[in-house]
Amino acid sequence: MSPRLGLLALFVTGLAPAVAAASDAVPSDSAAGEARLDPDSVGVPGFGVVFEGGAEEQRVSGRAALRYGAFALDGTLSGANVDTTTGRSVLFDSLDARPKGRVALGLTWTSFAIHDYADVLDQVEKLCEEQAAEEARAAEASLAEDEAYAEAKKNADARGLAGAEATKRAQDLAMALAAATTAVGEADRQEAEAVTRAKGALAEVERRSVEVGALAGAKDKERTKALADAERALAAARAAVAVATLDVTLAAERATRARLDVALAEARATEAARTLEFAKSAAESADLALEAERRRVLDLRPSGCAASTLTPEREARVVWPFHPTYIAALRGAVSSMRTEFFDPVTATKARESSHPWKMSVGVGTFLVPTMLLAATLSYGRTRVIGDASLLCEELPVETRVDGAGPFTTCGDITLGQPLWTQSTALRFEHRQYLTTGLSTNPSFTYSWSGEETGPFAPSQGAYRFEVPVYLRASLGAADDKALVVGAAYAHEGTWGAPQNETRDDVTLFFGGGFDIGAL
Amino acid sequence: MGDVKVVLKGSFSNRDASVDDRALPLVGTGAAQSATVSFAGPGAHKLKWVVTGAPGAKYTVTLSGATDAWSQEFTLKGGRDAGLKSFQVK
Repeated sequence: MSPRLGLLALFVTGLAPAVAAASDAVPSDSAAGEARLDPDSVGVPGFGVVFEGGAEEQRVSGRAALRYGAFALDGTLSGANVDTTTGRSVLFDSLDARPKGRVALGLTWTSFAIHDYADVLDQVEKLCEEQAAEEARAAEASLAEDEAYAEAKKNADARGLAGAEATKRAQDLAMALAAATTAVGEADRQEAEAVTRAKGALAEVERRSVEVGALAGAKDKERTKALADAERALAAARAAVAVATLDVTLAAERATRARLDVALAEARATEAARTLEFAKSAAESADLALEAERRRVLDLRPSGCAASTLTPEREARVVWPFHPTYIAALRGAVSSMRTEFFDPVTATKARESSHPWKMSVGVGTFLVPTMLLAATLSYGRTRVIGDASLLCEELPVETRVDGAGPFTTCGDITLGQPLWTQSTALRFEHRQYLTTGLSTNPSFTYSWSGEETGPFAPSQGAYRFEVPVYLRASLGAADDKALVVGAAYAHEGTWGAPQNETRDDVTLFFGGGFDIGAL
Repeated sequence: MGDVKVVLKGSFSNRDASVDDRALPLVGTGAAQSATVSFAGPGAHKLKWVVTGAPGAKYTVTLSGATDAWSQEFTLKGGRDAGLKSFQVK
């Protein structure tokens, strides 16, 4: 398995978890990941940018994550847009000036990943092979007893035999055609020879006729003898012509007969070829029918194998790692913040860098496939600083050089030395996974904080009730792009404190995501 | 080079899949999760998957692209299932 980025997303949404872990009295993050940025079941986005427009302040957060199996490493950069004291935009300047800005690094582990099931898959693979071998043996045995298969086999055998006979007949006819063709050639040759002989005999007759004519002027005795010889020769020549002419006629008749034989043989060969083609086609059809029957009996359709397709006995042998409808998640986050503050004890301005951290553990169970009921317990160290507005009200921090004053001014600075506190939170949520259409993720968080030394006072804490509602639209043929718009209502308050305070906030968010593929 | 598309579709809460033991970056919304794998050439490969959800829920695994098209429906008998499918890239 190689590292991969799962989804590149651009979201406009609420607080990033790591930031919330560091600064909020009531952390709002879940160990299972940030629901608003969660593109699938138990994952994290490849990259996200978050923006919050709330009633009291605006905050921009950017978040990127890298997935490796069950682990996800994410980084967050966040800054507030509005300084509540001065009212001016301080955005990322706030990283240096006020504790509104954070950089944070988080590591999340979720229990559902394929490598956790590697052993299960090995078991299933072996059981599948075992079952397939057993089924094949049983099917082969049933094959011999199947009437339909026997009939198909009989038909295929008969078709095969017919095909073989057709092939032999076609071969015989091909040989007959070859012999007839040879006979035509021989007849043509004999006819040509007979024509040649007839022509020679005719020429001889003509020569003898000339000789007979030439003897007409010779002496009587000699002429009579020569004439008799010439006439005999002429008669012989004429007889030869007659014989040759007869040969030519006979040869021509033989050639004609031979050609008729060839035509007949060709017709038979054509018919034989058709018969052979038909026989082959029939044999192939019979073979296909036989194979189909074999597949039917053996159930050889191409298929995958899963635990659910195993026999109950085999399925019972599969040892699962844990009940699959439960998931577990762990998350650790560390952030970095720089704070400029005024220490009234020493009457000096100072800067410091601190690294709040938080650990979360969560468990969840799926009520239905798309609804998770989860609980997250978190503990962390939080850097707490005073309220900047106090600086305006209580302390003169500047005296002008012209001697005027002293007078009070509102500096962009925090009063008092930051203190480390510890914070524990318990969050319950009902997560409806983002599908096309409307979904929601209501949560209730109870948190209590205290200085690092001294007793915890869980009876005095703060609570937060939040109801985000999302509207998500899928884009792309493979549903690999999505747009999300939504709003979240949050109600926060203290519990058990001498002076209970409450606060309501509404956050609007929108965003989108798309796949950037595997690395 | 051939691309094979793997789709897991149905009622499930969690899913994960791999080809030749390399995890697939399944993406998608709701009940349809898909990934496309590129192969350098012809050869035999193995798809493995794990799915969880409500007992009795059904899901479908589909292969398409540079391989023989295949699709099969499975049932989450105990709310979970793990399976495999060998396929040949053309």
